[in-house]
Amino acid sequence: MLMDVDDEYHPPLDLLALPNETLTTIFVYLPPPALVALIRSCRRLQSVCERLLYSNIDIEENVDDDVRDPNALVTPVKTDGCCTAVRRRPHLATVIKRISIRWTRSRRNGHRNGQPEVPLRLAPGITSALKCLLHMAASTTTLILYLAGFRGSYREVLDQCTFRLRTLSLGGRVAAPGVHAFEVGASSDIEWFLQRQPHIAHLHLPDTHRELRLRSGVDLPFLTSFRGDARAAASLLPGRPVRALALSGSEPSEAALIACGLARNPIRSLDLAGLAVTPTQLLTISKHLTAPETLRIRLALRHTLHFTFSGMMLLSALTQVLGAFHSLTYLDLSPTNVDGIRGQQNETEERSLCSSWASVCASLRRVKFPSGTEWTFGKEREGGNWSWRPKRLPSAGRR
Amino acid sequence: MSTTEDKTRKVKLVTSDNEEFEVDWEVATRSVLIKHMLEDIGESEEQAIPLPNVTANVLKKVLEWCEHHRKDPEPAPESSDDNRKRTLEIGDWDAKFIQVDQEMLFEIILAANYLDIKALLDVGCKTVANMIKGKQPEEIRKMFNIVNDFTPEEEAQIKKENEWAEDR
Repeated sequence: MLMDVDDEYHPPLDLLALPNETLTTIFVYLPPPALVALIRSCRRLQSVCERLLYSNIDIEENVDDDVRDPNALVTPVKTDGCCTAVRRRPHLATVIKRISIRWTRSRRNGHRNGQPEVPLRLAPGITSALKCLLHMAASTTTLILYLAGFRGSYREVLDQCTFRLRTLSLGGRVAAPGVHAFEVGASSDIEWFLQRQPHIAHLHLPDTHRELRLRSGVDLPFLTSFRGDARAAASLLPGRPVRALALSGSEPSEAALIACGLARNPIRSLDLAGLAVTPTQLLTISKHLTAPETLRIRLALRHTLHFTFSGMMLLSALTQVLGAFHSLTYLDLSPTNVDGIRGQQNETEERSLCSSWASVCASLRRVKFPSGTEWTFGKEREGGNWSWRPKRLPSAGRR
Repeated sequence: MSTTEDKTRKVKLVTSDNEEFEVDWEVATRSVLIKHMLEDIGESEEQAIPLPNVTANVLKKVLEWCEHHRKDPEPAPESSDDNRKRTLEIGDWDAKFIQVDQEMLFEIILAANYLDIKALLDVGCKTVANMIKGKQPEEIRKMFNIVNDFTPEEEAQIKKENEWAEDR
């Protein structure tokens, strides 16, 4: 390109002439592989994009063992590579704010037919590499670890960490075959860590199906949301400021529900998408958790019923139950999987369901159906009448 | 404050190359910077607002965007938690508007940043991000006239070090 004389005073503006903060504004839109391409293009972009890439470490990788050689050791290459990079260049660790590492395994290693999961034969050095990464990443506030098949103890990797977490999600560990005592022996495993992380506000423990032994009034004083098993929830919620609860795993016992009702504040957001509930169970839940404003449910629908009733008739059974939730404003039924619920013909039925639910639950303003259609109660325009109106979401496929 | 929000009010803007633009209050105040300046100077309507960081050809383009988006509602405050999940989609009109040469594109981004027009800045940034997405380092260098200042050894090392974040 030829340069004019004028260009001495006003050089053509190019990407590298933009200030770092503007470059960052642009690059936050990019996924990790694109950030890597920028890092590899020149020094200036390397320094800008490394900050972005390493501030939010997000790894998901398969850790299946080799089909040809089931005895071979498995190396989670992405996890290993990331740990190596940070260890080699320690300044990268200072920008880390969020770490998410998920190991996944295919079904052949999973618990099929009640068989215990085959433990992962991990190459040596991975545990200590991971420990080193977590130890160095002292500014991390969000940690998500799902180490499928990992047979070691979390203590091995989390010991000596100095970060102060706001959000923690721990899951994916299994007991080695025949080592059921493992669960008992390791029961202090997670508690030990939770006791050292008093700033946690959001906790997700998908695979902890037991009570947690924590000191009330001392441990996790700022917990505002919990996702996990009802038994764990029942031991955590009493006395803590939890406002959002998501239950998964086993069906909650009435004792567990009573305990969940003893949180310091009423539960405002209740997510039951991880369970399949019947209207009867919902009625039991409503006795103890009376004040949710948001309720997300997956209704249990038996196969035989599908042939005799339309899905819509099943939804109408909710009318008996919803009156118990006196503060409910948003009912989200989208996790419910109902056959034959799509298309326009449902609009009349959905509208009539909205009306009958609102007649027993006066606070209701929004309903999302299994069809994906969201209905809101409001005025069309100023001075108009209040009515239920559908809004098709972009995800529902139609514009 | 009611007079400052008078829909018929005109605002005068002066660019770095001394060109004067007269636009509707509603159009000019898409820029938060200009809006604040107008609030500061109060009702002395004759006073022109100097924009020493913007040239006439860029301001003309920016005002074209402001004119089209004059009735847009205030943007909802967004949660900045999930930067990575931001969508790269751009509206039809904006996509057409932003079909300009690279220099103008960067000028618009700088001007939108300076004038504090969040929605226009987004359009510009997403456009550049879309240009980068899916490209190899060599293609990126070529597109933006970037000189490769790594040695071959450094290049190999950096590639290896960041392989964990590539799609594989």
